[in-house]
Amino acid sequence: MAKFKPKVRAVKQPVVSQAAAEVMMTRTDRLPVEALVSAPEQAPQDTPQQAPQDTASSPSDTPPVTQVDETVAHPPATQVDEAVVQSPATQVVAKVVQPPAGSKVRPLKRAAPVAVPLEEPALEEAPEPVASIEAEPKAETETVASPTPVPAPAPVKGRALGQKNKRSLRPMSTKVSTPAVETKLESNLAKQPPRALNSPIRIFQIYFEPWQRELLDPAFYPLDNSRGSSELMEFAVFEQLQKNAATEGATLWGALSWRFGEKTGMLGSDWVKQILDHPGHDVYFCNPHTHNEAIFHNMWLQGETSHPNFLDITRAFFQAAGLDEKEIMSIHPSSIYSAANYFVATPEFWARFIPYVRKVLVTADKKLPPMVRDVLHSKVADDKGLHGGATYIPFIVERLFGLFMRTEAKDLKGYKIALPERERELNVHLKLLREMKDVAHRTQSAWLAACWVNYRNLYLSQTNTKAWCDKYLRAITPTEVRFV
Amino acid sequence: MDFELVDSSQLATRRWEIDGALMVLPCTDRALATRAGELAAARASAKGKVLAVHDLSRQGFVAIANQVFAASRSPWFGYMAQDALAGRDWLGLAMQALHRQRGVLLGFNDGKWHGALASFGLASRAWAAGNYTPEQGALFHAGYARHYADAELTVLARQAKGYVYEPNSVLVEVDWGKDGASVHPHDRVLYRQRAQDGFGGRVRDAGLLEMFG
Repeated sequence: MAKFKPKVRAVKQPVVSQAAAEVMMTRTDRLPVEALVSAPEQAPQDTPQQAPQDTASSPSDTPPVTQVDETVAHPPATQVDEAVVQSPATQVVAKVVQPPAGSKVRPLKRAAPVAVPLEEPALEEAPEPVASIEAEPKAETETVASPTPVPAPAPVKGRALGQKNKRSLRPMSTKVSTPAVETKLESNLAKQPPRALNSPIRIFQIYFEPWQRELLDPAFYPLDNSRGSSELMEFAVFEQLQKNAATEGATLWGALSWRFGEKTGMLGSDWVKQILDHPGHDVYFCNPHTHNEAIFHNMWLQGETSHPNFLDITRAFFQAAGLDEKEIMSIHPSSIYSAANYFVATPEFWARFIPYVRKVLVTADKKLPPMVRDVLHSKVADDKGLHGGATYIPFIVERLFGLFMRTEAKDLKGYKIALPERERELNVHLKLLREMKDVAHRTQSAWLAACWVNYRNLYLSQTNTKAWCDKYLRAITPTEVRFV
Repeated sequence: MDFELVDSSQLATRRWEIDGALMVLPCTDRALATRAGELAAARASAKGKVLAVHDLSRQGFVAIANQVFAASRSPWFGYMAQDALAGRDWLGLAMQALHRQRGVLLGFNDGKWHGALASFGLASRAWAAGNYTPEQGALFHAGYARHYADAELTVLARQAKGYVYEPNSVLVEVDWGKDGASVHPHDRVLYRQRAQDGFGGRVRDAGLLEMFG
């Protein structure tokens, strides 16, 4: 069994004090050294029951002895820095984010449906329809361009899902006869894109099922992608939108997922406000998985813990595409972490980013050995079925953004939108780890980076099972310290 | 949402990949299970599958649910029984609630426990898969025969602040004569034993540890 001893090779600095090296070796010597098991986990063998059981009944008749008072504060696992300043934005978000489990369920605030018919023609009249974009009621569309959060009326109760139900609890409106419309006016309106789509900032929100509509943000345009089947997932939507009249004339546009609110803890109007408050950037992005900034060198290494053999596939992909492999093992600063493809960007950004990704994908596909290419395009990437059977492609594409910004798009300016709710969830260790890594990166200190690796491995050892550490810890710990 | 009925003997050879929620429905009465499962699928208003498993060798609810969990892939995994009656939009509403509250386990309105306990529940697979080692169980702790496994799961979710109850998401237990049925004594003993060490150190809140004891 080989000992695992990370080498500390400073790229720009000589290495490390003896004491620091000793600390590091003391810790890392204890790390697992076995070769990684690459096969998916074996399905657990269930213990046979001792006697025939009553399968027909529901699993519990257990009476609750004590009702738990959900208002009692549960002690956190680790101490959280209470000194986080609650900015006005944080306070706004805090009002909207749902209460702890068990407390009263409240739907996300969104504008109530407006009972008047839409004035604008549907987007289907545009030259190249993308799935199905809907022109939202006025109250919602105005929010997009407005820096002021619009107070949302209470949601309509009893709204049926999927529009299948014959009876709806929606209040009946008084029947009013529709006034005649001038033919010329009607014709003019039909020729113009929906007024809402004249906004300079156009953010679409992709959804797939009717029940997801209730979770959409009123500041965004709903985009029905239920028929979308591209392996590229969101990226395919970006490509379609770029060619579509829906984005024509926009100064900034993007397409976010239906889980935007859940992942970011933000309202769409707050997101737009962030953009308006920080003008002059080519792309606005965020990272909903902030803890990854603290515990991984970069998002490529993080991918190894989420998708089987991600690093091997990625290395092969980089070689085939002619990308610099050093990217995969280098320390990246938290400022360039992004995930979920939450980009709102200028047409120039999209005009460069989309062809860049396309070129990389095509080049890699051409040059990869057929067997590797088959794996790249296989559902092995989603071995637990958590991502709708996605292949490796969307997971690689979402990680290309940082590389693109540092190489092909050096002249473009990116602005990372902070997510106060996600920041609030970081414990004190994660905050320290992230800061430590960022300082190491900023000062190009291999010594501090080694200290970070040591602390990070200790943290991961304490917060994950031995099986997890055996499987991943070595793979996600490069033996050299390198900075991008 | 689809409905499928299989025999428990098929669990060793088949696998299910579901884009959405997979609801396991262990059963002993095929007719009851079909009626309950088909109605649930028709009223779900969300993608997924109700998989009824005829328990030919009487392994029990917990064992069947665990086997299906291990033999399947899906982002969400739930459990119900042949005496369940699904309300309209039960799954769509459940999914909305889970996403709104970033929950990991939802207890349906079963007409019985008022949300205190997920007797019929829907769990995030990513969360549930990390609760036990393969030896201990998959979805439920394998030591339980037919009771308390859901109680333990509920307590774990509450400790993680991920338990969600959505009263409008209805999956009622139609138990005409079960209110008087007794609790499996072995399960009660095991639950109390496990509660004493905080279910493997995962639960620290005293109120939660005493909740179902």
